[in-house]
Formats: sequence, structure tokens, C-alpha cells
Amino acid sequence: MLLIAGTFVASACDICGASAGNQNLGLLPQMNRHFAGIQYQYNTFGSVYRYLSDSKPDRHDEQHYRTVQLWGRYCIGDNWQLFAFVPYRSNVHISDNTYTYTNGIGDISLLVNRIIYSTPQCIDSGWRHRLQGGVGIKAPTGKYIGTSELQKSGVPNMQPGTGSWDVPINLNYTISKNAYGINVDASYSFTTVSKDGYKFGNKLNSQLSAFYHIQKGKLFLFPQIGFRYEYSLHDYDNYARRWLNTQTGGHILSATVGVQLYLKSVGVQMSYQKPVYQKYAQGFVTPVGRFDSGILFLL
Amino acid sequence: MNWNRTISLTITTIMMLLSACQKKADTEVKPDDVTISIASPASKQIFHKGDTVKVNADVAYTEQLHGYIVTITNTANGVVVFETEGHSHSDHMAINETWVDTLNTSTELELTVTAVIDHDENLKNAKLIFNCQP
Repeated sequence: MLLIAGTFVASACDICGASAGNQNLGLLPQMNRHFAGIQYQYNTFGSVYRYLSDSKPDRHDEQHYRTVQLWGRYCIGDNWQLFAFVPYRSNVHISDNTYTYTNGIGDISLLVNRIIYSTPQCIDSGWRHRLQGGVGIKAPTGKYIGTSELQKSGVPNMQPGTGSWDVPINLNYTISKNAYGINVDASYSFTTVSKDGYKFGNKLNSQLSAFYHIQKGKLFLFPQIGFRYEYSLHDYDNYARRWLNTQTGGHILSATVGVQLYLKSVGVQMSYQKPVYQKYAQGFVTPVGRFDSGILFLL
Repeated sequence: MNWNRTISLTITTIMMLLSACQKKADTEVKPDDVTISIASPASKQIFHKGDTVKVNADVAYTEQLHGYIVTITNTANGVVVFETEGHSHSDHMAINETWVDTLNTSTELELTVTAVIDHDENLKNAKLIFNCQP
């Protein structure tokens, strides 16, 4: 099989959309080859700001998150893989026709994956299985000015970095027969407290995808469709004092559609997610959609 | 490889993580414990048209505050001539707001600084009177 799937880490919110910490492996090419690539992610949220004063109507804001990310994979032997992600984030918060921009290098992540099981080539039943999992570390390398500077806006997740060391774990399983396949993927991110006491909620990100393999000469095409489920715990405004921010976290179920194509050593990927069910940030935040694209080069 | 055991352990771990409770400060809300100190303007202070009225105040509480509202109201007719607010992630707020006096008649104004503790309308007010003269 040319591809194997995987995903890791998600996001967080405080009366605005998702965040500084959003990685996706997606469907990955040949398991035993190194690669390097660049990704572009565009994520949009709408939010409702409820004024403290009863005399003012609710304000409707928008948040747009754009990430350009360098990433790569280095294979160590047959069963170990090392991934690295270096994101650059450019976010904008639109409120009353006022545009507030934040941008900069985001948090750099490293991930070590192990192939736990893969159907041996000598078995020719037609069914193929692959299970892999791993653990990583996300370092607070991104720009993060802390919540003290943001008291009026109250949107710490608009910053390029989270200010915290986080530990993502992931596991995914793929079953395929002939040209058809299904991938089930789950990842979880354990977050820690930033230096100013803020703690983004832990996050689960899972995905069920069905894909189909089309080959035309040296061109490989992989259309895919499925669902993604994201679950985020509440953030803490101050973890030491257990100040839970109940206007963060929640559930999002999205329908996903995408395609990948490979020609020789070059791969191109595009996908789109549309939320179909959400219970997020007590209804004050509405995910609108997410677009991902990328190009990678097998080395 | 023990295939079933690995999958079972993974699913169990995920379910435990999802069902875990989040600890939350569970203290009784006491609006009377909020302290509001208005440093400026002074009570009964007189301003003239074109003056900038600086509203400086400190708000403190034993637990997290949600925000503040600053309101300036004409006491004669109840019209609000200025209103602004701010958000907080802390147990302390330093308020620094300004309003430029544009009134053409002698007016008695009431400054109200409201400390908002939470989303459940728990709050505390501090008020003072000052005057504007053309």
C-alpha cells in the first residue's frame, strides 16, 4: 500500500476559534521513504461576544487562522519514523470592521512513530492491516505574550504559540483490500501550564476515512471521504487556582472530503472539512470550515 | 503481537481521558468581598467643556473577575453619556478609561464602576458624583 494515515493534535478556544496548535499528518506516502514538504491550512470560525453591559447587543466576530508549515519525515529502520513540524501562523480577528493581526513562528513539534503491526508481504489474503502509534513533544517556541496583555480581548488562542510544552500521542489503524481502504485514527494531546498559568484543554482528535486507490501509469490518485470528531476539554485561565473557563472546549463532528495524488516522487494533497454537528464553547463559537493543502517530495 | 490487548488498552485509555472530570474552583461567590477603589475623578470634582475626565480605579477580589463596566450618567435625566467595559482573566483589574466632556450645560454626573464577577449577574458597584460646567 502506498499510503498510511495519521493525525495528531488539535486546538483550543476562548470566545474565538481554534488555535495555536493544529497538526495533521493526513494520508502519508510510502512508509519507508523520507520526505519533506510544505502545508497550508486555513481555518475559519465565527463567534459571538456578549457584552457585560445589558445595553449593548451581542457582537459577531470572525477569526481566520492561516498556517504555512514545513514538515518532514525521517525513517529509522523499518519500524520507526521521526516527524518534525515548523509552523508559521498568521491569524486575524475581525470585530466591528477592525482587523487585529497576529503572526509569527508557531510551536515546533517532534513526533516519533512506531509501526506496531503491518501485514507481511508474504501473506496474500487480499486483506492488509497496519497499526502504528507514537508520542511527541510540542515546544513553546512560538510567540506568546500571555493572558495579562490580552485581558480586554480575552483571546489567548489568537497567538502563534501556546506558551506550553505539550505531549501528543497518536494511534491509527488502516485496513484495506485491493483498491479500497478504511482508516481509523485517534490522537490525544496532553497540555501543560504556560508560565503565566494559562492551560489549554487537552484534546482528542479522531477520524474515520474511507479511501480508494486509482492508478494511471505513474500517477496514483487517492480520493477519500469520512468524518472527523474533535473533543477539547475546557481551558484554565489560571490552572493553579483552578479557574476553569467553561466558555472553551467542546465537540465538533465534521464531514471530510479530500484527494491526494502522487507522480513519481512528488505528492499533492487537498482536503476540506465541514462541521455537521457542534457543541462548542457554550455555543459562542461556530467552526465554519477548514481547508488543507500541501505538497511533499519523497527523498 | 497481542493484537486484541493493544486495541482494548487503547480504547480504554481514550474513554478514561474523555470521561475525566476537570477540577474547578468551587468557592462561594461573595460580591461584598470585591473592593473597588476609585482614584479619579474625585467626588464633587468640577470639569469644564473640553476637559478629559480620567477614570482610574482598582478592582480586587479573592477569586477570578470577569470584567468591568464604567458608566457616566446624567443624574437629571438618566441619560448615559459614556459607557465602556473590559474583560479580565485575573483577580485584579486596573481600570484606566477616559471621557472628554462635551456638555453645554451645567450637569451633575454619576460615575459607576461595576465589577462583574461571573456570567450569573454577580457584580458590585461603586459610585461617585462629579460635575461638568460649560
